[in-house]
Amino acid sequence: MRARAGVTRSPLRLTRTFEGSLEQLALMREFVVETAQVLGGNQEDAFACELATDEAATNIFNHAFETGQGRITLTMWRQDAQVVTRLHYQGRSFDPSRIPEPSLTGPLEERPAGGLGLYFMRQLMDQVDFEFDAVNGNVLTMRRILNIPERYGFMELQIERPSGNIAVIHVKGSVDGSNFKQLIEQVETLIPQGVERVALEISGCEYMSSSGLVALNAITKLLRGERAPDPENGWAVLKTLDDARSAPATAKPTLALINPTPRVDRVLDLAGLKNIIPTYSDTASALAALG
Amino acid sequence: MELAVTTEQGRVPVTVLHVKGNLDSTTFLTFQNEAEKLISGGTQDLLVDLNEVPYMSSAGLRALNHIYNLLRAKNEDQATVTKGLVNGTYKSPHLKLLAPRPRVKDTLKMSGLDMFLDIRSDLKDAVAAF
Repeated sequence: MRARAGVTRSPLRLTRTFEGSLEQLALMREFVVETAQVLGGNQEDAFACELATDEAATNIFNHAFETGQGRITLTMWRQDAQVVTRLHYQGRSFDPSRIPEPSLTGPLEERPAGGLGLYFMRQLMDQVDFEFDAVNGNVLTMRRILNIPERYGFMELQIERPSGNIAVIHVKGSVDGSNFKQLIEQVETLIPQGVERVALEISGCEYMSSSGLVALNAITKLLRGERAPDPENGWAVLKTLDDARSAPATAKPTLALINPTPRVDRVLDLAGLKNIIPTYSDTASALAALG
Repeated sequence: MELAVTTEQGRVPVTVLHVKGNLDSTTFLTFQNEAEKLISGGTQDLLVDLNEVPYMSSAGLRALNHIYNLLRAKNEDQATVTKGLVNGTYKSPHLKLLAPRPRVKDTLKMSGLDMFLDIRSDLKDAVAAF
């Protein structure tokens, strides 16, 4: 099966509210770094989002909040090849066009605070937009085009049936917003053929976005005889993975992963899926665990 | 963030300020105050060891720039400095940076501070450069 990139609509939207003052920065950065990677960014993308959010939040705490205290709601999501970071807060507005560009050819002289931070945000992001609204709050939206692999949108699935109720699916390429539903559908067609347990051999999967994680969750549910959750429900879908933890400890796993690449492994780890879906370094041990 | 101070003897005595931890808007003032204290205590040549700084935001860069301004030689001719900056030949003779990690180095480059602050990877080499 070969899938071509269509319109990507990542179902995930992650939001967290931070209340307080500058001491919130470290927590905000941690949230942004993890989320940027779960949304498909690499470490460079994550760093860019981290630094841009730090600069934005520092300016907000220092200049938008009269007392240096306030509440910032941080939301991140994927839109096509972009990761979007949005900060929503109540506070003083300013005119970004009146913040002069810092002179970078020599020592910085005294200049309005925030200039270098704003410059960094624009350097690190592809688009930075401010909307000020005294009633509904101010919104700062920063978009960055991710360093995504060339094969984005190309997924190849190969099925192997080592025994009656087990299927090994070799997944190659990229599991992302454009094709994750096809992976779910593949398992849906295998179940009526008697398949009860699935091993996904993902050594050739270079890239897995948050949509790929949603597919893993849906497959877990399908193999337990439940309906796959509506993937449009976004992050709530992943949260239902908590159900898997309450499954009897003696129960054999129904889904296993074989040999993820370091990059995919990191995404699985950050999303907390490694505790839930057993991962093996070779097919033989995965089949032994499933069988 | 933790700070430690050591001294090295090159052609001139060099104070080394070792920074451990993130240099951001919550920590830069502690760092800047320590450097100010050293300078008012007589330090004329300062090497900032960034080897254990995983992360630096513009707040850390502002602090470095402020320290640079404090260390500017009184007899430094502004016209010569400006000319050197334009030609890319001027580096601060009194403030240098030691061993920044790649991400911090990227941040230094993005701000342009690397154009006038000498970055050295080796302590001995850095001390000898003063």
